Formats: sequence, C-alpha cells, structure tokens
Amino acid sequence: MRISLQHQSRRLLALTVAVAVSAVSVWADITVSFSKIPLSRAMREVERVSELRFFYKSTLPGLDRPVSVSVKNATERQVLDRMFAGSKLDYRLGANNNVAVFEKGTEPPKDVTAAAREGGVKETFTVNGRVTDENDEPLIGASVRVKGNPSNGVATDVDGNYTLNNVAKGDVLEFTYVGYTPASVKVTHGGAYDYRMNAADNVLNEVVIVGYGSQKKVNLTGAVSVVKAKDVNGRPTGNAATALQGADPALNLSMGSGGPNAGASINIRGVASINGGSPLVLVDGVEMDLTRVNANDIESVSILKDASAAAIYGAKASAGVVLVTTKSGELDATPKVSADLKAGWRRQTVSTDFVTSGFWSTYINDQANLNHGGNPYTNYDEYDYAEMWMRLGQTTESAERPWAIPTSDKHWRYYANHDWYSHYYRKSRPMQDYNVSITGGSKRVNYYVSGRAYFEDGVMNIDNDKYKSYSMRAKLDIKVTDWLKYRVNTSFFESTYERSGSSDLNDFFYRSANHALASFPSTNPDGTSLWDISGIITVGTAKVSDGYNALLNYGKHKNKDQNREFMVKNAIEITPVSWWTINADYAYLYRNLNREMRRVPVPYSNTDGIVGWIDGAADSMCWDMFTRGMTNNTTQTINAYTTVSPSFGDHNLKVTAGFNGEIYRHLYFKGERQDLMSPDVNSLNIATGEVKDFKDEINNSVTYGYFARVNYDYAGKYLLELSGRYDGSSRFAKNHRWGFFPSASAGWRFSEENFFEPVRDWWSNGKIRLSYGSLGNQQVGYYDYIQKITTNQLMDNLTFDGTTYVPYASVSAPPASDLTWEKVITYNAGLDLSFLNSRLNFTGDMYIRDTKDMLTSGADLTAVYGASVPKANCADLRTKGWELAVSWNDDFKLLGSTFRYSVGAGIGDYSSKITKFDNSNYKIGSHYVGERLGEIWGYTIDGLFSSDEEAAEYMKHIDGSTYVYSDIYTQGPYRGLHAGDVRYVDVDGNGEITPGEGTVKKPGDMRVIGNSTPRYNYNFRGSIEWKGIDISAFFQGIGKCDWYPGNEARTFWGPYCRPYNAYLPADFLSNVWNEDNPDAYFPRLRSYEAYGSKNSMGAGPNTRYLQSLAYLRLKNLTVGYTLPVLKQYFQELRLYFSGENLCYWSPLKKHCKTIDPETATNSGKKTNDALTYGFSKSFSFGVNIVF
Amino acid sequence: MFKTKCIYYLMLVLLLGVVPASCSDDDSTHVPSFSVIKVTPEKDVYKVGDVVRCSISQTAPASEDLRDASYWWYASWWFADSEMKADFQEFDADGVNTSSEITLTQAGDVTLYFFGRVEFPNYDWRKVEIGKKIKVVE
Repeated sequence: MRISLQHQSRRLLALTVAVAVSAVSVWADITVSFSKIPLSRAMREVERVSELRFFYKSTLPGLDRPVSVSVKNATERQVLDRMFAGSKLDYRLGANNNVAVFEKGTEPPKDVTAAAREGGVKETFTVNGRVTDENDEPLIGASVRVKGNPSNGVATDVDGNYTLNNVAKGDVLEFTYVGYTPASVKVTHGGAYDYRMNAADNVLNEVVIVGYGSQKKVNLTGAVSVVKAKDVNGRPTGNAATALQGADPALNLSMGSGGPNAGASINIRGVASINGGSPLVLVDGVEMDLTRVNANDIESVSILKDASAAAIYGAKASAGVVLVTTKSGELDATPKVSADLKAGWRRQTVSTDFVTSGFWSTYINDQANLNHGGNPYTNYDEYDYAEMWMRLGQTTESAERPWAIPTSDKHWRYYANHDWYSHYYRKSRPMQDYNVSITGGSKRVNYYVSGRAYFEDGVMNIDNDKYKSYSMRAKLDIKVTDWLKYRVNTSFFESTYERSGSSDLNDFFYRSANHALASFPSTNPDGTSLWDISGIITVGTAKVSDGYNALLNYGKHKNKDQNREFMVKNAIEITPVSWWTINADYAYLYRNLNREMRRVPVPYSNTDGIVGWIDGAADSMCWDMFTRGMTNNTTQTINAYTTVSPSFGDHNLKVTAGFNGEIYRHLYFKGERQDLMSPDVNSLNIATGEVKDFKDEINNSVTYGYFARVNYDYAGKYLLELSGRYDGSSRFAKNHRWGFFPSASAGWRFSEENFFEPVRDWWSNGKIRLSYGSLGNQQVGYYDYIQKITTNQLMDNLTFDGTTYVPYASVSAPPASDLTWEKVITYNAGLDLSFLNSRLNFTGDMYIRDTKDMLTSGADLTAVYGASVPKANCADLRTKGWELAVSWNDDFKLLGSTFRYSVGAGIGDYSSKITKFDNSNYKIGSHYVGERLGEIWGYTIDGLFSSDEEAAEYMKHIDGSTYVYSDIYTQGPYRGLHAGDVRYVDVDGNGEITPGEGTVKKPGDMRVIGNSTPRYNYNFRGSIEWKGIDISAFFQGIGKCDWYPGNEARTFWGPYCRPYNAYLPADFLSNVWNEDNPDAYFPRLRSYEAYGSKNSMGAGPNTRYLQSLAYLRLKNLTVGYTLPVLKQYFQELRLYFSGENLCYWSPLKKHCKTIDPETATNSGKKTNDALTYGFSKSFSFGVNIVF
Repeated sequence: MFKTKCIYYLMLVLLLGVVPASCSDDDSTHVPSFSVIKVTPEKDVYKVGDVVRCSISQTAPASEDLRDASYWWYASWWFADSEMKADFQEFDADGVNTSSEITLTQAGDVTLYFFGRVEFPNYDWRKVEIGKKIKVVE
C-alpha cells in the first residue's frame, strides 16, 4: 500500500507536469465573436486572439465588406473559412501561421511568408534600438516584442540592443523587464526605437495579496506586512520557515531545534491565547506546513497581522494569517530556465570547546560530589590520578600509555582523554541544494515548474544521521476564453530522515552526556563498549552515557521518518464582465508520515573477556522490538467566491463574498511488537513476542464559513473596509458551533488632499489606518466537548497469566456543556509614510488585542466531585504592542555604473497580561489577574560570601535551612554556609528565605525578577549592487528576554547540576569560586546545587544566575558576482557565497558560550535546559544560471 | 621632506616599542627547573633483573606563588600494568629527589620518568615530565 501510494502520487505529478508543458505547445483553438465589422478589422481581431498573422495589399477590393463570426474553440481554418465565405477575397495559410490574402481568381502565392515579404502585401520594417534604465544603463535580456504576435520578439543583448524584422506600420512594440514598468511604443517607421524604462514604483503600485484577492498597498486599511521573494529566495536554509525567520518584527518564528527536520513554532504579535495557537499558514490558498515549502518557489509572503486583515479567514485566523504565494508563469513570456545550485557545509553556532582531559574531568566532578555529599564520584585514588596526570595532553591513545588497563580482578580501569563531544557529534557536515525551475507562457497559457533536491548530513557522528528532501511544484494557468481561466497547481514533497540511536532523539541529547567523563573511553581494548561501571569505577550507580555509548557502537538501532505531502488544486475564474469575477477552487492535500523504530539488546563489557547484554529490563531502549507508526492526514478545501468591483466616477467599490469549507481527516496507526527473529530485519512480520502497543486513531473535523468583504474608496483618498465571517466548527457542541466575527477598518490618504500640494514634491504618500475586528479561535481538541473513554490501554507490570498485560479503559474529565469559541478582538492604528519619490518609506502600527473566553480549567470543585475540573471558557488576556519599519532605496552613478543600494530596519514589541482568570488566591504557578505572560518569579542573591565569618554571621540572623540552603545545611563535609556560597537576600525581612505562601500577595522572598517573553524583536538589512557585484546582509535579534537555566542545563551548570556530565566548558574552572578567585561567577563547587529543589540554585530562579537571551545575529550574508561573459548562452551567470547564522552577539556569552540564545529555552525533555539539536551556521557557494 | 622624516622617526619609535612589548613574557608563574635524571648504578647497558635508583636535583625553585607540588617516579613498562603504582617521593633538604628501588623487568630501550604536578593558584596546575632512556638486555 505504501509503495502503491507513492507511485500513484508520483505518476499523477508527472502527468500534471506533462500536461502543463504539452498544453503550451499544442494550443490552437480560437474563440472569437464579432458582428458586421469590416474584414480588415476582423483580421485584426483574429490576430489579437490567435497566432494568425494576415498579409495583404491595402488596395485589395472587399476589405471593407462587413463580416460576422462567432466561434468557440474553433480551428484556424474554421475561422478563416467563415471570414472569407462569400467574399471576393481568398486566403492561403502558410508556415508560422502567416495568412496571405489575395483576390479570388488570381494566382495564390506559393510561399506565403516570402510573398508577404516581397509582395508589399503589408508594409513592414526592420526596427532596432537600445533599451536602458533611467540611468542609461543597458538592460540586458529585456523583452521586446510585437504586440499580438509573440513569435516576433527578441531579448536585448549585453549592450541592451535589439533588432526586430517584419514589423508593420501601426504595430506596437512592447518592452518588458522584471522590476520595471512595462511600456509600449507604436511603430510609424522603420529604424531606431530606443527606449528608457522606468523602475516600477514598488511602494505606491505594489500589489499585496490579501485574503481572497489582492489590493494595492496604498489602499490597504489593515495591518499587512509583505516579505518579498528576494528576501527568502536563494537562502541556504532547509525550508521556507527558516528562511522567513526574522523577516518581519511581528512574525516570531522559532525552530523547535536545529535538526534537519525540525518543525517551526510561529506566532504573529505574540501568543493569542494561553492555550497556544498558531497563525493560519496558507500556501496558494491551501493550509500547509512552512517547513515543507521550497523557499525558492516563493513569490511573496503577506503577513496579515490584525483582525481586520485576517477576518475573512475567520475561525483559524485568530493568531493571524501568513499567505504564501508561489511563483507563476507570465503570459507572452519566453521560456526561462533557471538553476540555483549550491553546496556547502554547516557548523555549530556555539563553542564546542569542552574539557577533554581525563584528569580534569574526573577531578572537577569528584571534587563537586565530594563537597556536596562527602563522597567523590569515582573511586579513583592518588595513583589513578597520577596515571591520568601522566597522560595529560595526549589526544590519542598510545601503545606506551594505554587508556584502559585490566586490574587484577580483570575489571577495566580507565585513564583516557576522550573527547565525548567529537565522539558523538560532527563539527562540520556537508549540505547540497539543487533548484531548477522552468517558466514561460504563450498568449493563453503560462506555466511554472520547479524541482528541488536537498541533502544535509546531520550532527550525529556515529552512523551519521542523514536528511534528504525532494520537492516539486507545477503551476499551469490557462486562459480558456476571454472570460474563463483555469488554473492547476500541484506540489509534492518528500523527506527522509534516518538516524541511529533511540527513537527519541531528544532523549539522546538529554541522557547521552551522563556518566561520560573524559577519563572513560568509548570502548575497551577488546572492542567491547563501556556501560555499567557501578562500583568498579564509580562510587554509586553509573551507566556510561546512560547506555547510548554501547547502543550507538553496536549500530543496530535504526530510525526512519518519512514525510510525504501531495497537493493538487484546481481553480477556475470566470469574468463575465470586466468588473465581476467568480472564483471557485478545490484543493486536496494528502500528508503521510511513516515512522519506523528498531530496538535491540546491546552488548557491553566491564570485565576483560566477559560480554554482557543490555536488555529491555535494564533499559527500555534495548527491548528487542520493532515499531511502525503511520499518520495519514487529508485536507479538502473548497472555496467559492465572487468579486464585483464597479466604479462610479471617483467612487470605487469592491465587494467579495463567498464560502469556504474545509474537511480534515486524521488517521494514525501504530503497531509495536517484541522479539524479532533477526536484529537486522525490521518488520512486524518477523516479530514473535508480546504486542506492546497497538493503536488506531481517527479524528475528523469540518469547518464551514461564509464570508463577505466590502472595500470602498473615494478617489483613492478615503478608504473603508468592512468584512465578516460566519463560521461553524465541528469542534464544538451543536448549539455552540457557529459564530459571527465582524471587522471594520478605515484609512485616510491625507497625501491626496489638496492641502498637501506644497509638500508633494518630497512627501510622496501619507496614510492613517484604523481597524477593529473580532475573530474566533477554534484551536481546541477535536472532541473536547464530549467526555471520552480511552480503551485498549495496558497496565504496566500487571498480568494475570504472567505474560499478558491487563487491559483497562479510562474516562476523560467531564467537559463543560457550553464550551465554545475563544474570541480575539483586535484594535489597530497604523501610519504609512513615503518620502522623496518613495525612496524613504515608513510604516508604524500600534495595537491592542483582547482574547476573551480562553479555554482553561474552571472553578475548583469539591473533592466529592470525583473528577478533574472540566475546561470552560473562563479566562481573558490582553496584549498590547507596536511595530515600526523604515526603508530607504536609491541609486547613483559611481565610476560610470549605477550603484544601487537599500537599507531597512524593523522593530516590534508586545506584552500580554491576564485580565481574567479563576485564581482567587493569586497562587504563583497558575495564571492570575494582572500577570504578565512569561513572568519569572525568583529570589534575590546579592553576592557570594567572602569569608566563613561572614557566612556564620548571616546564619545567625537568617534561616534558610528549610528551602534554599536545605542541602548545604545537612550534607557533605562543609555543612552550613561558607565562603563562596551564594548569599540570599531576606527581602521580606522575616529572618527566613522562603517562598512565603506561594501567592502573589504573600510571596515570601520571591519577586518578579524577569520575563521570558522575547521583547523588541528587530531586524535590519542592507544591500548594494554595482558592476555585477551584489552584497546583502541581514541582521536579526531580540532586545530583551530572560532565561533561568533549567536544572538540566548541563553545559551551563556543569557539575552544579549533575557531577558526571561529559560537557564541561573548557574555561569552567576559571568561573568557579575559590580562595584565589573570590570574584568568580559560580559559587563554591558543590554538585547538585542547581539540580534539587532544596538546593541553593535549584530552589527556583534567582537574580544572580538569571541570563539575558537578547541577541543580535548575522542571519544572512550573501556576496555575488554576475559574470559579464557567455551572454550568448546565458541570460545570467552568477557566482555567490551565502552564509546563514554566521555569528551572534549576546550577553549570554559572558557566562555561557556553549548555548545558543535561540535554543536555550528549547528542549525535547524538560524546559529551559537547552538539551536539543543545536543550531547551525552554514557556508555555501553556489551558482545561478538563467538561460 | 621634514614631514616625511617626522613620519619615518615616528614609525621607528612605534616599531621599536611594539616589537619588544609583543615579545615580552609577563607570565611570572613558572615551574622549578631540574637537572637530568641520574640512574644509580650508572651503566651503559643494564640487564633484566638489575635494580636501580633514580635521582634528580632541583636547579631553580618555582615562582613564589607555588601552592603545592607532588612528584613521583615511573617507568615506561608500568603504564600497562595496573599493579605498578606511581612512586611518590619528596625532595630532601639538598633539593634531591630519589626514587625507590626499581627492578628492571623488561629488555629493550626503556624510559625512567620523573613526573611532577606543580600547583599554582586558581587551578593553574602544570605538568613536569622528564625521562631518561636506558638500554636493558636479557
């Protein structure tokens, strides 16, 4: 079935591409209608709608004879026969669609084309000229063609020159060039027709894609940002999501990790609800995942930020909308083949300089553990330390000084200098990215076909993880008749990610560094792997790398994730009259995820000559088991809407109304069974043991919406937009399914007023925008309104027969009967300004967003209720924010060539506050009224004790023994506080360091010490182009964000959390307090101080170790050079270097260079511990070829 | 001309100032200096089963910020033998450190080592490793 589906989807895609290409070449049907017009005019009409070209003498009789023809999809001859029926004239159809017209009874020309040239049937000329830009620079590759005769066209050469033959008097020359306003010139004579083209006025004439249509940017009344193709195309990133990061200050896009197949977390203007919620991402009108989109296919991205702009999307748009529009072909465009080929490598963004000395690794951890509980971590004595000291500085094992020695009882003793980081991770890995696209169009059909292959090696060193993805897109627009257009858009995406290790990659990042001192090698001299060294090397229990070392060395654990996504969209557009269009489309999106996981028992040894096995009982990663999980999602989207846009003098009206329906179906199947007959064959068919898990899950949801939007403007001066949507969702009970969400916005282009005349020379545009809108948030569970029974669950460790686990069922919490939409109400005020002929542009927005009726646990119920509190719509949130963006574009002459440059910057901020929540006691840890989202409550530390005497004096007055100092008071050789320990401030002056009653009103010594919400999201970019050289740089950052490292943030805390961590920063000891280093950042070395809740740094956040995650990152730097050679073969040949995430500056680096500020809060296992797939910087070299 | 001369002399002064500064060693912390290892009895070739002692003299003291130091003797064939332990010894009043008796058990070119761990403040610990190769025959 899997193979069949794959083949079917590929076949369908291939068929679509084939249709797209073949349709262009074979189209010949003519649809034309005219009545009683002179034959000469009739010929022009036919020329306009077909490829036919008529040649005749103007002195022929009967050219003014009235003719009538009305045909639909007729052949050329059918049309010609009708035109000349009963006429004194006849025709002969020759090559190249040339039609010679001659008088009946005379000799017809044998060679129509020759006759046309020779016979003076129609006066033609040769025209030539030079096409330049405003600065008289030649435009290379500009298209010059005769209007209505696309076959008669050329592209300008390297000097901007062109020559066109067979141009008749009265013909119109059309000049087109990307980025310039198209122009046309009527031919009156042969000879020179030079033309200077004007750059398109990108700001005032820019058209922005909005919901179910497009609008001129100057007429927008909602808050909409646009990211252009040039800002995302060509970036050396795996997908569109990473390319869009930081592109707009309102778009907060963070990757879950730096992994090749990581998902993206997106929000616009912050979270819209405490329950989360993501913006609606539509790719060509279909809801899709940005990580599955090829950034090179993107034409533009519109970010609809306020409710007014997003209202037309209703139920799913409460968190904003991201509209991605992919590229399309152009009518009457010569075919263009573009290739963007690049290869490069990736490296970690952070320092990987860790302690690799066995001596120091063991010494630091032993000392930390000794100071905490009185015992070192290892049982190494002074002789063992001498052995490690003698091997200090040896990066490889030598025959004279081996790293593992058998003891008299045949256990291994280890004295290695093992670099565990390099053992597990690659510091440099290759990537390749190949993009090809073909685009073009004829009079009736245009097409865009693209394909991409992307390969990336992952960071894992052993049995390297590999990611590869393939994507294709084919778009075909057919002008069936003058009033009917048909569009088909297909896309296909497939990715495969293969890796060794356990199924849970985050578990690897979380556990593999445990019990992995640099003094432990990976393998024993006999090749067996290290695992259980409890009591042999260590005082307590220790399994080297928590089993990952042995597991990866054995290499039988295999994991494979395969994503496939196929989309086909068919659309028609009917234009009965010029001001009325009717659109309908149907899209089918199929997504499939196939996940395979193979686990096996793993061999290890701690004794020379004896091999043991790690099995499932010892570690659940090592069951002999195979798991297959398959997810199939289908989404069907139907849109039908109509737009009328009549104008009455200066009154312009545009009304859009329609229906949107979405049917979603989710199917998940999982099978997991033990005891396979071979460790090398991965299939459920050869499993003979216990079925561990068997799941069959189906979810459906349906959303229907009726929407309408009215745009009105008076002379482009006063702008008004009203829209509303009536939405129904199957996620709510029958009586609560439907909601109406209205919005209104208005704009005033004061720059169009008469009083503006005196400043119009330098002030190009000015507009004030105001909007209000209400949206629904349906992002709740599929069946939250129903109480559910979960069956087919197995009791852990409970059997009746000793082998089969006991099944059981459980009931979910009772639902609230009136569960319904969360409502998001947004007020927005904006200002758009353009100066100096739109070279300087400014946009600013301020907003308030109220989220009402958020779904959360309702009021506490008495214990006799017997179930958890049902969720209800009972919390409110208010978000306030603002955004500013400014840009400058200009060019000037430098050494005879045009120097183009642009700079731009944007910044945005928001803050969210709870305005309603059922927490009457104001308990900290739950939301409460007045809470700013992201608040970090913590204690205050004002330094380290400088002497034992000072610490003793402190203890006389302050009792911290029950909370922050509990362990220090009760454990280890240095009980009680000493010099170098942290000094907490008794904020409430009650002689204790406690959290009080844990409420806002009685927080003890805790206060709000920071906030984890990223604030002041900013970016700035600049670019220059000169003499074929182009340089662009894009910086992005966060101005404020606090982070308290979680108790597993091991590369930050080192042994202050766990005293057996592999990755100690190389400069760790220089930051640790001792008598010689009293100003150190970290306190007296004691293990677990940052780990346990009764310890000085683990009891909760504190001011001393609160970190700032503010950063500025050079997100992209591209340097390219367009070679001025081989113009006869290539329209463009450009070589370039592109670097992504090249460097960053952050206050975090002061005390931690090993954690990227963007991954600090990420983790697959626990929060705030940065134990996840790290971010990468990439360096790539590429070539752009266009021909 | 005057201006050129001024620039020339200025450059010269800068160069003379910068080069010595960049070459200067401001690291005042240093480990002690030692003589070569003396093996007693002194022979050109030793036999397996011979018993020797090694000694070494401190020729210059460590810098004043020395916190602690430990020294030991070791032989190259001990590295692979967990039964052979470092022979920790201290310097006597004459500044001489002498090993325990070492029985030569392996033929070939073997090395007798003097190791030291010299501890300065703030975990600035430095390694001393001095070896003497001797020939041992069956």
